[in-house]
Amino acid sequence: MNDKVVHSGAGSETRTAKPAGRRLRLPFVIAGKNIAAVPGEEQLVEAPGGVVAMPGIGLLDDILPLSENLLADVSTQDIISFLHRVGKMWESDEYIRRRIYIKQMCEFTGYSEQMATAEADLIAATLRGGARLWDTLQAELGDRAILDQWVRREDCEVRALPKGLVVHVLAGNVPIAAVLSVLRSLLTRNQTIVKVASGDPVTATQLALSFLDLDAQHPVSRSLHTLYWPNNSRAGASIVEHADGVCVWGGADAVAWAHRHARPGVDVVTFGPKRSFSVIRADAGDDIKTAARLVAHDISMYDQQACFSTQHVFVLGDCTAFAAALADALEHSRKIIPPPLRNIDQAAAVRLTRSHHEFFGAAIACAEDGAWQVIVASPEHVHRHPGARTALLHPIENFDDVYAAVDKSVQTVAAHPWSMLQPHRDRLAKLGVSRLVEAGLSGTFRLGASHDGFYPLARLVRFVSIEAPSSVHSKGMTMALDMSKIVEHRQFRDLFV
Amino acid sequence: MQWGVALTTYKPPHWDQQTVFRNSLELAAEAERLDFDDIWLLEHHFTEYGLCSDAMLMAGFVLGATKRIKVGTAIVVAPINHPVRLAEQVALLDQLSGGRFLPGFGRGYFPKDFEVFGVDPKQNHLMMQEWIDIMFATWRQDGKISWKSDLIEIPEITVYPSLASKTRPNVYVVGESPSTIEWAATRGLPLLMNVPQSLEQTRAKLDLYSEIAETNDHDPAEIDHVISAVVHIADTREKAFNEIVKNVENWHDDAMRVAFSAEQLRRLPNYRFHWSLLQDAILKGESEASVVVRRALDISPVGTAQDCIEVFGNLTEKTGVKHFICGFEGTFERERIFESMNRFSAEVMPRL
Repeated sequence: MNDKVVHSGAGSETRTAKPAGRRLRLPFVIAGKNIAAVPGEEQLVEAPGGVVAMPGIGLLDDILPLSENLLADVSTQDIISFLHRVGKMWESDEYIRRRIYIKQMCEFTGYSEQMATAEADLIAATLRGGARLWDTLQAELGDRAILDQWVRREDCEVRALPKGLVVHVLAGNVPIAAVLSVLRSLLTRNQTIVKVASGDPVTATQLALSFLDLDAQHPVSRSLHTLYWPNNSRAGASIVEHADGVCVWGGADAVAWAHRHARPGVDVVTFGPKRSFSVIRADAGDDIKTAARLVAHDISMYDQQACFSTQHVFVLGDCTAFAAALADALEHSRKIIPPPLRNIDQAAAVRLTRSHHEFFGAAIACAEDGAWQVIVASPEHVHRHPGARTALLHPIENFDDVYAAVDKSVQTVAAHPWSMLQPHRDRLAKLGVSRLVEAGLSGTFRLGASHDGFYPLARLVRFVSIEAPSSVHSKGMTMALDMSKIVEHRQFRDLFV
Repeated sequence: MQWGVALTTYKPPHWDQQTVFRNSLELAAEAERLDFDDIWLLEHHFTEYGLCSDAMLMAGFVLGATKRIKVGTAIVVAPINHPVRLAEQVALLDQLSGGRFLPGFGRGYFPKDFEVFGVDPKQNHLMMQEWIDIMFATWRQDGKISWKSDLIEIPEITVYPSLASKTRPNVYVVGESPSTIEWAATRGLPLLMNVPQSLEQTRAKLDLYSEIAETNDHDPAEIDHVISAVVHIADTREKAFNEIVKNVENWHDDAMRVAFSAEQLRRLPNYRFHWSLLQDAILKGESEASVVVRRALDISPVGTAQDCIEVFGNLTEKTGVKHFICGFEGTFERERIFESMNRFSAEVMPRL
């Protein structure tokens, strides 16, 4: 790679934010009802593509059903069937809500049509994946039936019950995360309040409206409430104060706010903030072109805004050859996943990062319009990552050099070839990494995968156990578990043999 | 609010054809007397589901028999007609009625129509859209039109008469699928919709319409969308429901006998929306006529006058639509139909 290579960009133009000429009106969806904003009492939210008007938060005291759990006695089968039917609607190009979703995502969140369409497809696939949902219950709760019946677990029968009212504070960086958060919450039968993100107020709202399209009276529809409140507002705090669980996506400020207002003992489940990187071997015998294509995908999806997005790439071997291949792959990737609308701050950060590394003499390749950039940089010259498809490449001598970059803030380490991970997985895990994946699969959470170090479904239920009576001998025991007699006769040695 | 009356020309077994038309004309006269705003005619072929085989022709007759009330078509099956003929007919009725004619078009849903009149059902959506564009072009250009496309070729001609109205009449279209809704919204054409869909489905349609209309410089609030509904008033909701439910089921059955079958829908790419609705109904276990009709009547203005006020009030509040077509014929008993209409006029219309 030359010192600076500029690609003229044959693909789509990278766009910077230009406010939409019209105002998008989005309702709240509360208990199966579409609550439109009353003119003059709207909240105005600055979304990336323009202003979104939503109902005023003052309505909530009258309409929020905070105490009743309508899903308590609905079977998992019925919930999954309902979600499946919603997913069937979403997969059709002729589903009206899908059309609205794609248009609003393009206009107000700045997504390209390809990205918005891909998100709609992903929503359909996620909701339709009934078998996967059953398997997720098995993987995360230990038994797929545990929400429906008492299941035998050693000396006990155990059942998982919903936490109750769970508030989800969404981030706008990854639309499908909104769907996952809602789906996990409803699957575990929780009354679900969603604070939509200003960066993407569309996904959760249109998802909830699609429930109403199918059946507004269904308990699943009536258990999902989408709202918006300004950061740090008293109304938002009072909702969190009522919650039996809180899921927070995004930055440290949102996490701190949730912790501040959650009642003592209420679990605040946090997703992010995290960072991710890739490790690539680019020796003569390696398939550098394929590695570059896979890394380019991990960089391009969600425009590097997701926790799992690769930001840095550690390269063993020929870094120059890999950088050139990655530049080509990113240029190709922009045609498949065109960049979203970027605001002026993002565009400035991209230019600033490039200038900063130019000063230190880094080799740089970039798209002329700023759609992506590849910078071969020494880690000590990196002060912040600007996102927006910036690949910071770091040549390394051996894999051990990666360890310096690992701590508990790392979510995903992607590698190519995947076999590189095998000898290092124990140490990476001990240093704090949550996920180890093959390059190109950073955003694909496989069945059984943990999320940020835990299993989310287990955090959305409480486990209740019926323990066996004294007449039932525990495994290895040869007598009834009569503790009074055991104490009296000093038979502790016969306990838990 | 604007109130319309549908003349279905459905022939139940106990009426002969003359009775159907005599009742229809008397209903039209009664609608005018009771201050309804418009009358709407349905067009069907080869079925007693509706004996009116030419809604334009019947509209001409009804316009001639009335003085004030407007008369619309809901709908004329556009693709089985020549677009120039449609432009002529609409303009002629506009001239003769002094602007009282409301043209409404659809692409059709009954396979025999296309088979007999030689139209490819795979293209009927494109034909409907292009035929309407041809009508508009004709009226825009003082009757002068020449047209060449994959679907039709029209030599340079001048169409007579021109419109009497100074502005183009509202052309109403049946918009069920998102593709048709988007097309209508780009042109600012009002939609003809039905109550049997849930309130949320209707809202979703209008949300999509508004998204597109706004970006094409049409103010969604100015568009005269119309919703049609089965309406029946009795002293109790239960009585009203029971008086019509079996008849509406039979009417629905007659329609389904001549409509596209599930197998035909599955093979027609331009009916994917309808196919997905059917699939959804099957998944929900709601594909049987009795379930469909009962579910539709549950959300229809069928009950006491107060029930009707609440249903229409809610529809207007939630969708913004202020124009409704009422189908009063559910009892298939002449006296009860007139009684229901009169009660609606006296007890519902003034309160909305």
